[in-house]
Amino acid sequence: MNGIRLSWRNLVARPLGTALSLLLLLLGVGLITLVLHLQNHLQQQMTNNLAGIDLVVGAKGSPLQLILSSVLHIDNPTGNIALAEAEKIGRNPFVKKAVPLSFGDNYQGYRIVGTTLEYPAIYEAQLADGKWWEQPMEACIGSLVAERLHLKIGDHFHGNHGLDEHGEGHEEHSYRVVGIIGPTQSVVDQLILTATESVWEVHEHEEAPHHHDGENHHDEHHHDETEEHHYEAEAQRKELPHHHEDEDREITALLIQFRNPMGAIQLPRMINENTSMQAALPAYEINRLMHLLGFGIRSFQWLSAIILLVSGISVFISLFTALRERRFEIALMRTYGASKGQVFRLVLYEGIFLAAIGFTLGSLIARIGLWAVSLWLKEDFGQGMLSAAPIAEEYILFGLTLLVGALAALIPAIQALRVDISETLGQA
Amino acid sequence: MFQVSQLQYSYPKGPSFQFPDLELKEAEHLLILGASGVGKTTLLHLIGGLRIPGQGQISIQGTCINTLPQGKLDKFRGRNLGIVFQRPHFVEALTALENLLLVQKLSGLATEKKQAIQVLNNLGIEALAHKKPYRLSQGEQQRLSIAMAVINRPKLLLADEPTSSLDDHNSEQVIDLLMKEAEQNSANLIIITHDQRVKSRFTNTITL
Repeated sequence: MNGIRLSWRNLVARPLGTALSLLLLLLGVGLITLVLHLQNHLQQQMTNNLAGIDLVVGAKGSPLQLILSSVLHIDNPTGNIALAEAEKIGRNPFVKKAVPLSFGDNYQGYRIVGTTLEYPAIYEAQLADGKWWEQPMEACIGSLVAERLHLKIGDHFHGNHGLDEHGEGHEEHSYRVVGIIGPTQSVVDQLILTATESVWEVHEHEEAPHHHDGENHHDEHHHDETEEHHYEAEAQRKELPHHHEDEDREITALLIQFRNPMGAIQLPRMINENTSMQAALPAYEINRLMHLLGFGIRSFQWLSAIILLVSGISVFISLFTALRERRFEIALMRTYGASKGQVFRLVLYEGIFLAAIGFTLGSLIARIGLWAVSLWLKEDFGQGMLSAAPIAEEYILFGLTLLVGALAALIPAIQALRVDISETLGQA
Repeated sequence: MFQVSQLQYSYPKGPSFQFPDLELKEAEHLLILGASGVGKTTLLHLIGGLRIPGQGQISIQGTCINTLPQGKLDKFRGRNLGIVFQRPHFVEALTALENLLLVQKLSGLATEKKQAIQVLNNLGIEALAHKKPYRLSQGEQQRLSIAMAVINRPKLLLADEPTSSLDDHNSEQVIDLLMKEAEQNSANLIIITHDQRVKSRFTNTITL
């Protein structure tokens, strides 16, 4: 019957107080762990998606929207930009790499993005199977797309207009899957990549049936225009009879890597002032977004910290009241040879024990929460499962929780140490 | 082998006591009688090393316990003394047997389950080994507290009013048990009481 076992037995002997303390501890630890994981995941995701993209050029509008749509692929684009104008920027001496993106269609909710092979290269994406696209209407699909839609090499599919699943179909044009991209832990996993020309081809040939439909359809497109800016270009194209010309070619956005840091100072200003396009710095916009989100995260962290504090108080009250009843047994143990240090540690262990068990349960609950959030993210955003592996902050939280337990037990432990054997046992 | 000389104790804001010199040879027993308030429990606590005397000397097995530093005194108590208190106390979270094992452990001795069960057997409460102390009757609790006092085979066994709350029959039995256990270890037994029923059992008696 050593000290640690005795501490344990003492905890079990008063189940209600112990249960309340544990409940509060696991709630506090669970919430903090969950928020830490989600925040970590969000940051990881952002960093992965930003990769080496220094600047995004797109149609004028909200810079945040431009970043959300063209880098994270979670919002609608601000509109289209002229290819010719974009190419001019690409030739600027500050620019090391310029990658065009054209999108506006989806297949079962997954975006079809027309681009060059430089785009997967930004994310260091490797093929898991097949080959990269070589000509229009060949597509390489992200790992999650392959997994969830059960697409294989050689499969054909039709894109749908718009960025959600319910757009009208482009029945005449079918894509052929030629490559499956390995997991990158970035947005590429959720994309269908193809040549920029594919997107042009689909939309150009589509003009014919649209014209037959006449006014009716035209109106519908005008209606769309107000809701989703990226239809704008297409609508314009319809009004102009001489389409298919090279100078009319459009893309949605241009991702840029700078040759040197001077680019960050010169290029955005040049683009924003001298062209009809806008330039947005992803790092800056994401920081702004995280700052906005940060408020929510901080409130959550404060709430969890308060719960953790309350659980500390609960541990204190539980031990303190228990010790008032237990002062006879403390005196008894002292009589039979226990030192002051031993009885002090006995009570301290109880606090630390509670904290350790509370932490373990909290971690477990957080992981169940993480799993639930993962399922929801997968359902709604097609994201992969969140990792349940411990993150660095959790080790700090573990230390912190043990400290809360030890501090809560400190006063009761000092009480135990101060028990006067003779006085206590003399009370008949 | 027990000796007390010129022992005095004053409570900070209370009464002062002066105690007579005492001396016991190996295996000798002593009954200390006295009315309430004459310092009986104080004397027992001083002898037991639970309270440090103002003046005088207490020597147990050749060790002068009133000059031992706190830590050594704790260990000495655990090894050499067994004390039966007026009201039995136990570690409530543990069973009767576990309480005995704890007392063994605290004294720094190896925990021997066999010996603990033997002691319970001697005291006739073996069947209660796995019960929590608060489930025991008063008489059973008193026996268990004797078991805890003798488990480490102390050289000095102290008992503070061990019979005051017991009926004649139980009182007789408790004295028997204390004497038997003391004799087994050739220990000194000192009983402090105001209970006159016990008087006839002892040859060596003093009154405070």
